Amino acid sequence: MDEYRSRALGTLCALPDHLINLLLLRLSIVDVVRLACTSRALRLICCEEPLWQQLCLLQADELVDAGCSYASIKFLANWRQTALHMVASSPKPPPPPPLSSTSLGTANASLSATRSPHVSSGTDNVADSSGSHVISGSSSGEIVGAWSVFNPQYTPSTHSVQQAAVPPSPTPLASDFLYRRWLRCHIQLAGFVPADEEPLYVFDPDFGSAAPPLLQAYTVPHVFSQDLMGVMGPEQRPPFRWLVAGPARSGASWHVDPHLTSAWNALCSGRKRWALYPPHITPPGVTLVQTGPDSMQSDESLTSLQWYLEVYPSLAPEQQPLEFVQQPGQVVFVPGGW
Amino acid sequence: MGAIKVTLIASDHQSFEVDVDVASESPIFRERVENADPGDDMHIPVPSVTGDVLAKVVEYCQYHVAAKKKGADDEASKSDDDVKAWDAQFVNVDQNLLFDIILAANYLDIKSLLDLTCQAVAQLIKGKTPAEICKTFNIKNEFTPEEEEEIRRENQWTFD
Repeated sequence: MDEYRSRALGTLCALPDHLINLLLLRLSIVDVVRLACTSRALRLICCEEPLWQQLCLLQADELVDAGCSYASIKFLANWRQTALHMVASSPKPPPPPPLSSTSLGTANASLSATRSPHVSSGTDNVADSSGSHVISGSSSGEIVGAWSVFNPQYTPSTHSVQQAAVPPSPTPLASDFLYRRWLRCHIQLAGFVPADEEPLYVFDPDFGSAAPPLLQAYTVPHVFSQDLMGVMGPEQRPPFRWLVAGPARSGASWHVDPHLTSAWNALCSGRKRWALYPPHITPPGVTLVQTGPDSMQSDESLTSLQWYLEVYPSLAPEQQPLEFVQQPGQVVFVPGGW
Repeated sequence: MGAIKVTLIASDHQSFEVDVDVASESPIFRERVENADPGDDMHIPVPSVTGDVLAKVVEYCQYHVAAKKKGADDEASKSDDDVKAWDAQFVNVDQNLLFDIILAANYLDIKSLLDLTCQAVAQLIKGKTPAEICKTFNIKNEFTPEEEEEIRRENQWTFD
């Protein structure tokens, strides 16, 4: 094996694979393609999708540095093809971003997606408890609904890419975008999402700090205004609000919200299928792992898609979860432990 | 502050006495220094790095720590161009030593050195044809003639 490695990689075999990868990120796309022609081992190393994803984003960065206001990436069958296409097509200045674009900046994820046509919701965890409800949306006031959660006077800014907005009205969007670093680059997800085995599901706890205007886009409903975690202050409290977005078939795996919190979830666009079990029941097919002195978490290796495909069909009627589909404008309250 | 010395001991027992802020360029050493007990002799073994490689790492850290201290010790402060030229000279070594420095920089977590040395290897690849790359790194091409042909067809565009 070592002998094979040294023949196939030559003197580069002194470096472990992850350092070779680091080198590759410093090459141009053409150089990587040429390196891939040198031996089978390098051909394999040079075909890794994470590498090509990075190369795509670096290429996009270069376009921006070269003076484009932002880079546009059209995702093809995979990241490699996408990158090769970027090189092949001459870099023309792309059209300006669509009028009502949203953006997210995330500190801990290199990629983040904005709202999709399928599912998109805001989630806010509050320390409170009562029964589980779906509250129907109504713009006329008394009932707490998503459309009263989202401030109607809020309109997304069209000139500042650093402003972000949850749509104030239930307008379905034609396409998805995936943003990176304040919209330096956006990627049309149309080709990306349907092919993926584990569709991207964005869970962004930092939208409040990354895109402060977004906080003005909604108001916490008065029934959820009491928030015991708030006494910890902004520095100390754990993440408590999330912007969630994902395409069809995406979703969170089985989980119980952390720190015994309850959550309200407002849906702005798309539909969200819910499945809930009461606190004392572990969902069938899910193994629990201890994550802290007072918390058990489901083993998140089982994605929601896998669960629906593999476990759900075999459930006896009495094993089935409480299920419903959340529509835009509805708020779901999930008590702690469910 | 600068008076405190740290002794780094390479795998072949060569030792290097350096200022604490030079050693601190590596988070690994910095942590070791910060957690040292008072009166500790400050000898840090570096068993995975040989003396000649550690010498280069020390040289790099010494230069860059000095370059960051603008104009201290009556020396003129170093311009970015000076530093760049010094860096270019620094990585102008044979491949084996360059790879060893990469491994050491990775192990000691000295990001700027890892960056510099990886960039130097990338520079050896850039703009070369596959045959030239094979020659540079002594890579043995094992493709069958059919594979060779397929690869040529696939990648023709990169050679135009």
